[in-house]
Amino acid sequence: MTGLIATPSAIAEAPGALAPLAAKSAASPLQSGQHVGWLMVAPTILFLMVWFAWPVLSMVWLSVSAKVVEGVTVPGLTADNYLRLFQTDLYLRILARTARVAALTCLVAALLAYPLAIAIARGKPGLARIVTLTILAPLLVNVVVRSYGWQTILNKTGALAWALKQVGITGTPSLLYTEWAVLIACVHVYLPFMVMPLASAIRRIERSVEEAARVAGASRFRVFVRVILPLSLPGLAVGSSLVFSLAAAAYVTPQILGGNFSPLLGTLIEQQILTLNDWPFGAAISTLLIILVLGSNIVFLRLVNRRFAKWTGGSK
Amino acid sequence: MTLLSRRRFAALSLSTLAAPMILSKGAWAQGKEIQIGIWGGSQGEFVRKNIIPQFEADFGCTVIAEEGFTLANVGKMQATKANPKFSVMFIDDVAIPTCRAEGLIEELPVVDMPAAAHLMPRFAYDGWGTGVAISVAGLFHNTSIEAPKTYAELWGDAYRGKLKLVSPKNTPSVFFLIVAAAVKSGKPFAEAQYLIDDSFDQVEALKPNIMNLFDNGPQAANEVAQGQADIGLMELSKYVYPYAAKGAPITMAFPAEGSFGGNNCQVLVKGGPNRDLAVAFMNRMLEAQVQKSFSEFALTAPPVSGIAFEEPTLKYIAYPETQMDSRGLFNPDWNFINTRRSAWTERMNGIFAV
Amino acid sequence: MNDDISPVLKICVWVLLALVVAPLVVPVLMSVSDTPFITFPPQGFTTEWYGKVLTDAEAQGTFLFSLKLAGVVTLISLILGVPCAAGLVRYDLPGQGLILGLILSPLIVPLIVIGVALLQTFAMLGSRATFAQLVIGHTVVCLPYVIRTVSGSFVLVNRSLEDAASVMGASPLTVARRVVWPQVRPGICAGGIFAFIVSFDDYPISMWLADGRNFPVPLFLHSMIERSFDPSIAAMAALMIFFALLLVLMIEKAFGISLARLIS
Repeated sequence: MTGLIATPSAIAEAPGALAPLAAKSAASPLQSGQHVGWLMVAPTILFLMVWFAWPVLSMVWLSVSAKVVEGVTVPGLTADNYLRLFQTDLYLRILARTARVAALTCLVAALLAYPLAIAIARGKPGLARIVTLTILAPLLVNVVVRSYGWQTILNKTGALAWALKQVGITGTPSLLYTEWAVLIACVHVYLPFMVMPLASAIRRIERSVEEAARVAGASRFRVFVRVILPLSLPGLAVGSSLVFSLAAAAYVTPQILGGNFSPLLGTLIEQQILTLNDWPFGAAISTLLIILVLGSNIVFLRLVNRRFAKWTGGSK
Repeated sequence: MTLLSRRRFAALSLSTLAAPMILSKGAWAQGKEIQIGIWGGSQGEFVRKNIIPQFEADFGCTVIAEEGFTLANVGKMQATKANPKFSVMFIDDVAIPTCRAEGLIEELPVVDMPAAAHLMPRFAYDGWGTGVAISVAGLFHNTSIEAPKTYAELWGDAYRGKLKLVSPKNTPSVFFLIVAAAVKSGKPFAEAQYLIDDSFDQVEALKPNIMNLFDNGPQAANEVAQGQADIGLMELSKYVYPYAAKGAPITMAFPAEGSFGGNNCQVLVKGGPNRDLAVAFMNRMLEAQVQKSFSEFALTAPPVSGIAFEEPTLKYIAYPETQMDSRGLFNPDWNFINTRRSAWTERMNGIFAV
Repeated sequence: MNDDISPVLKICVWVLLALVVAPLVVPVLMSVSDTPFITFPPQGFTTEWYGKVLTDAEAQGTFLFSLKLAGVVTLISLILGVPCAAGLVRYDLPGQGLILGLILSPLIVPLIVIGVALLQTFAMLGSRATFAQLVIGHTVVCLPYVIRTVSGSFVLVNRSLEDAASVMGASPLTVARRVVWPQVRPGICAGGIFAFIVSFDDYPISMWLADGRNFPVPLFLHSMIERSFDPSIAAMAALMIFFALLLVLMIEKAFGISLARLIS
């Protein structure tokens, strides 16, 4: 369930998450006992400063303050780790693959998520509930188990090969240990993070708008293209930012299904730190991964804000 | 314990030979704890489920075992060098020179290790470690296919997408590089090992035939047994024979160019906790009885002489010492290889991981 | 309410749902195969593999360990998170935006990076207390969930009830216990459950911090996939799937919390 944990949704959802807290200032005028408030939040702030902010920042610092030369760590301010990262063909390709797999996962997940989201938002309550539960329940199944499930399906003697044989197709190459296997499993694991924001966006669309379009003679497809798609873009952007960040940081799924042919940045970090013991270079890759995820979140959010304002004309 | 009972114990202990040892063991090791790094596979399983529980019972101590492969185990020692966490580490012979040079391990107190008396000199590593299990490295293949007679055949189109290659993390990956250099140059392993730097075109030429790179010997053996791939290349026999002996349709093959010795060793971590207990554990690993059952389970040869095996086991292992010589197992020049290993790893990744 | 979905779309939906559950169903099918190796389709029927897994001392040990770890993490996350959420809702603290940013940012930084950063910090401190390290690592990622869920329920507390109780002479403690607590309890329960699940299923943080003695379930499953030949690995995967279904039932029925809150 890496997915569940990793919701880097904070930015994407910041408006939502902040809304209740913003609302409270109206409810409660400034209170005199502010120090009590500080006492309540201080332990958490201290805990996160010491065990989150400091470790992550010192990791980033390590990437520019030391390098490993022939197995020996040499301290001193340096950009060499980043130069190595951007000048080595191998690392550039892995970076490109990470971005590609994450982007494709996003795209495929979005394509598959629309029917499901529409079913949740517009289907009869019974269907909506079945779809919601079926989409969400796998989140409680450990990501190792879900990846293993795909392994049993995709390998050369697995369920897919067996099913194809039943309909007379044999000799197809095994998908296991290819980038396809990684992509398929990533889409499966992160699909819920696309479906749920989309469903809530579609639910917010006034049914009267759709009905008006239908009455005016638009086909179902046209209604989708002209009404649902544009009005659900904010949900799509939130879902995309979630799925992209999660897929870019995936480790377990490429590990189990990629067979070392398709490592992503996460695998590279593990290899540099645990096998080659090159901490500064591992730190540089980690920093790059943070930047990739932060960057994608910011891009998607800009998209939301701009489009959302445009499509809805500011009437939220 | 009262004085009386202590005397009675002393009297009892004199009456048998084994007793004093056991009593003294219990006395000093009671409640102590060591952490050790071991390998995976059925060999690791045997260490965890048989050797350690017995050792813990005899010494009243706790032994925590963590599975890993050689490079990762060395990494763990490097990462905890200032404040060692492990006391004993299982690594391949390849890493002993590096560990020694970096001051990660210490010389064994051979006087405290009576069982080391029977250690074959070739597995003594100047006193900086001992062998614990000796494998032969070669190909493994599904029994439904005929194994190639030479390594060179593997480059043929017939094997397109049917091979599993060991990942550069693992020791046998070096054996593969030597094979590639030997195939390209036509020279024996002893000379070919110095030509690896110029043989990566040969490595790359094999790529179309490779299905994936495997990290994990047992998993790869499993997949070959299931028929997902025909051949896995370069693995220690310890990961394959135990399954073959259980009836899995898999076996090893040793093509004409030659075979490699896969020497699993144990080392004593410098400054590790409870050194005395660590030494006792290393001694236990070499005791004849332990070595016999360990070898029969993992189907590896013991590094100590004078152990009698039944025919079914002998079929799988190169033992006694004369057998090791007659099979001409090649041991690479690790000092030469270790300085180049990380560059080779990067080149391998450059070929396969893109 | 009339059904607005076209038949074509409905078919698509059912096919997609089948694909979503397929990787969960296949291991369950394989787990009962009466063969020494994993095969598809399964042959025969046996529960032998379940027996083997359930009686395996290592599997039991690792399961109990994960329960213990997740329990401690949940407790600490609640002890830290509930007052924090209440403080954020009830008081107007300067720099609240910054505080919120700090609290939510563990959700943005990739977990694998948080894990490696903690490993580096612990190595620097010379710490060898693995269990404490795992608790700290998991708590860092559980806190944002707890605070988000709990602060939501504090916002909804009806203030006039509190004022009424105070006016009637109730002590602040009584107000908290009798008036506030019943209203925020569901939120706190939900936060606790999510913290427990997040910790129980964590892989990317544990992979850096765990050791031979402190070995959580997800890492154990991964190592089983690598070394197990027989269908017992499928049986173990199936057991994890059943365990998840049990959790779904518990969450939905016993606690009445909608699963949809998981990712909202």
